[in-house]
This record gives sequence, C-alpha cells and structure tokens, in this order.
Amino acid sequence: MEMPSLRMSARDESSLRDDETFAMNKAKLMSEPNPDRLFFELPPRGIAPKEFVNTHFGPQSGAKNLQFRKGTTTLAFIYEPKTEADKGGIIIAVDSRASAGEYISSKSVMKILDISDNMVATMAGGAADCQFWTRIVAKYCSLYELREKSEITVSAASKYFANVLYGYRGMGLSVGSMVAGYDKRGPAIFKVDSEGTRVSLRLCSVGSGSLSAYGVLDAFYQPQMTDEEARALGRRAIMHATYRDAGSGGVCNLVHITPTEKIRLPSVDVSELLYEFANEIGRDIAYEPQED
Amino acid sequence: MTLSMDNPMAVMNAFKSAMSQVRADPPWRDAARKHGDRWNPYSFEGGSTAAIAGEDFVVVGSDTRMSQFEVNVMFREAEKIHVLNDSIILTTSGFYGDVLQLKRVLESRLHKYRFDYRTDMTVDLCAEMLARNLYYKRFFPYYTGAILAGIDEKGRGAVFSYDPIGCIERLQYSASGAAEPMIIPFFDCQVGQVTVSKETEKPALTLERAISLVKDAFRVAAERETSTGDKIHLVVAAHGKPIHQEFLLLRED
Repeated sequence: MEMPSLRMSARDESSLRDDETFAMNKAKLMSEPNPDRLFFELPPRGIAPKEFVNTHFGPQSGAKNLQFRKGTTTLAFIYEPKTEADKGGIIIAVDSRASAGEYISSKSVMKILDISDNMVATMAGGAADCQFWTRIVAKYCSLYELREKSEITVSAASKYFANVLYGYRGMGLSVGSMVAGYDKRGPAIFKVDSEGTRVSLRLCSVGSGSLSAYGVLDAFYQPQMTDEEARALGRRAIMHATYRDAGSGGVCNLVHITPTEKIRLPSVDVSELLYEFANEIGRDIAYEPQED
Repeated sequence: MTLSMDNPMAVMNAFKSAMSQVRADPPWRDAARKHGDRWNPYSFEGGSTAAIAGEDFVVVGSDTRMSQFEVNVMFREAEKIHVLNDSIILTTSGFYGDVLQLKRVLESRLHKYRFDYRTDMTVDLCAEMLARNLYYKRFFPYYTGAILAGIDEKGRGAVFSYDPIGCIERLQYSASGAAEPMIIPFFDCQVGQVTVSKETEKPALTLERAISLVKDAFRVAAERETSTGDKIHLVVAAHGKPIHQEFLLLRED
C-alpha cells in the first residue's frame, strides 16, 4: 500500500523560501519556533544585546521591580557508602531565594531542575536562563534516549549544555549550573557555566554563598559517609551559606541520587536548621562578647 | 592615492591595511554605540497587579492608573487585567505597549490552539507557553512583570509569577508592578501567615476573605504609592462558575 507523501513538492518549497522572512515573523507570534533553529529577537540597529539588557534591566536602570531574578547558593558532592545499609551516591543541596536587585522576589524557588530520571541540574545565576536552557538539555536527553535506546551519560549531557551556552557567549547569559547524576560510568558532577566552562568535580559549590558552603564542605566532607551524615552535611553547608550570604535564604531543598533512584527530600526552613545547629553547639551562633 | 590593477600586490596591501584600520576603529560603531546607548524603547507606566489563589478559586486585582515619569497621570482607565478565556487571566504591569503586545501574542496563540485542538488551553499549558514567549525575547525583553492566574485542570486556583524574561514559578499569591514591595509583605502576613507560629490556628482562605484582602492590598498601596490609584479592577474566577469582573473606586490623588 502506498502511503500518502508528506513531502512538499519542490515548487512549494522554493516559494516557501521566498516568503521565509515574513513567515518567520508570523510564526513567532502564532506557533513555537522550530526548536532546532531557536530564534531570539535582537535589539535593532546592531545594538549589543548584553549592553542593551544591562542598560534597561540592570542594577543602574530605573527598573526597580523589573530586574531579573537571580539564584544563589547551590552545592553537590559525591560520596561512598560507609556501611552496608547506606546507598551512597550524590547529594545536591540548594537554597531557595531569588532576588531581583535588593528585593527578594521569591523565597520558594526550586533550584534543582530535572534533566532525566537520574540526572538533575542546579540553578545559579539568571533564573530564567537556567530554567529555559535546562529544559532544552532535558529535551535533548529524552530524544537521545529514544534515538540511541540507552541512557545518556552525565558527561554527554553536560557537554551539550556547555556547547549550547558557548554558542551564546558574549550575549549576556548568566548560568552557573551543576549537572549531577548517575549513569553507566557511576556518579558524576559537572560544573557548567555561561562562559563555556565545563569541569568534572566530586565536590562543588556555585553561587554567591559558595564560599561559606565550601568552608563547611571542605571541613566536614569525607569520601565515605552514611546517608544521614551526607544529607546533614549538605543541609548544614546550605544553612551556613544562608547565614553569611545576604543573597541566599529561604528553605533548603535536597536531592539524593543513589545508584538506583532519585530521592527528592522535603524542604527544610533554614532558620529551623539554624536553631538546630545552635542547640547542638549549646549557644547562639552569633558571636556575643561576654562581660565579666 | 589611485591604484591601478597593474600592481595587484599594492592593491591587496592597501585593501588589507584599510581592513585592519576599519576593524580597529569602525567608523559606524561609535555613532551606533552612542545612539544605541540613548535609544530607549521602553517607558514605565506604573500601576500594580496582584493575585491570590485559593482551593477552587482565584482572585486577581489591579489598579487602572496609567502614569508617565511617575508623576503625570495620563489615563485613569487603563485595564491591566485581560481575561484570555474561561479559565485563564493574564495580568501585567510595566510598559503598556509591551503589556498589550504580550496580550495579543497570547491571544493569537490561544486562538490557534483552539483551532488546532478544538478545546480551550488550560492555565498550566498557557503558563509554560508564556514563560517561553517571554524568554524568546531574552535579548530584547518585554518590559513587563506578568502574572498568569486561572483555574487548572483539577479545578484548583493557580497563580504563576514571572520575571521579565520568563522565570516561572507557581505560587499561592503574587504581585507585580510599582507596589509589589508593599503588597507582597501584606500577603505574606495575611495569606502566607509567616508571622505566626506553626501551632497557631490559622483562618481558612475563603473566597470572601481573598477578595477583601486584594481590595485592602490596593487600598493601602494607593495610600503610599504614587503610580497606583483611581480604580481597582477585580476579577474573580471560581471553579464551575463564569468569570466575574467588577470595578471599585480607589483614591484618585
């Protein structure tokens, strides 16, 4: 049986090409752009988009409530199980604050975005940039899986991500993401940013609160930990980061990726973590000089 | 200096030096840069919008003032809430030209969806679509703070909040515009109940309470914010009921 042809005749195709500019403008309004050829409208007269956006939406612009949302403290590390009962894997912990300038525009942002069943990406830098491009990577991973009939590696996914971001270098994107997950090669974390960097790490933190988070992580991280210790370490590092960094705060979201599954743990308010810590050390965390 | 084609090497060298000169200091660049720095396609017409989602309803409010340079009141009946279909309400503050363009884009996309699928788009789908449409203008953004509200597939109230380039988040309540930093703390206190301890019994969020909270939010904002005032445009959507709209008077000073 002959199937009806879906291909257009050559004449149709050439006439379409003639009207391509017009069609493209119309398609922008009427339907999703072709995902393989994403079309971003640029400012006219060759004005550089980075400078343009910074002029009108940056900290110096008058747009007080229209600044872009920015993300802050994120961390991830790989650990091995200490006992038989533990699963090991990757801990990804993040805060939940999004600030637009000095204003906290959201205190409940989910900064751990799903890429595939056993892979996540964290969000630091421009919130919209991360959300949008993580979606693009997630789509690429799904298509890869369907096409190749095997799961994509974290390495390949992060490389695609880095290449996409490199393609938009100098345009003013702001992304600092960690792609973390378990694949056939084992656990992996790749730090990817909008300048095109891509590095494989076992312990990593990104964002304005990363310095504080690194302090805690470097002091208490061990290659082998129980699951409880690892999760507590992730939360504690986020707590200390939110305590010392004004740009971080809200709740601590935590994802544990084990060799077999991805566990999203319930979010915990960082001030509860702070009180827990204060109880543990038996005094308030703040330094208060004693008079004697 | 005139160059003849008798000496191609000289022509080539002259061309190369001219190219490098132009590359180092393009004559068009400075003028374009200067013009580009001054070129401002945006203006901010003030005003604020807010939305609260409940169990099976959503209340959306905005003022209707349109002002210029934060002082001059241009128009007192500029509608910032747009009812897109029976379950989707778009409310946007910011540059009114972009507000209208965004509304037109969404309307045409909803129209096409209805033509293609013979059903109205749900608010969840529209929310994702709006986020993407905002992001497609990442390098020449809409100067808007959008909120999308509506009743979702399961009959629950939904509020989606956006930044100008489409960072999306589903929330219980949201506000945008000039009075956002005033309205959100009020909602945090009254709806989010962030100031009372966990053990305290909290009043349930009924439709009546949500409506009066939105009204109060604009009344207090109009007292202290110059670009908010004139009228409250109140839109209420409840599961299984037609969308109800009304206008209430607000301070006009």
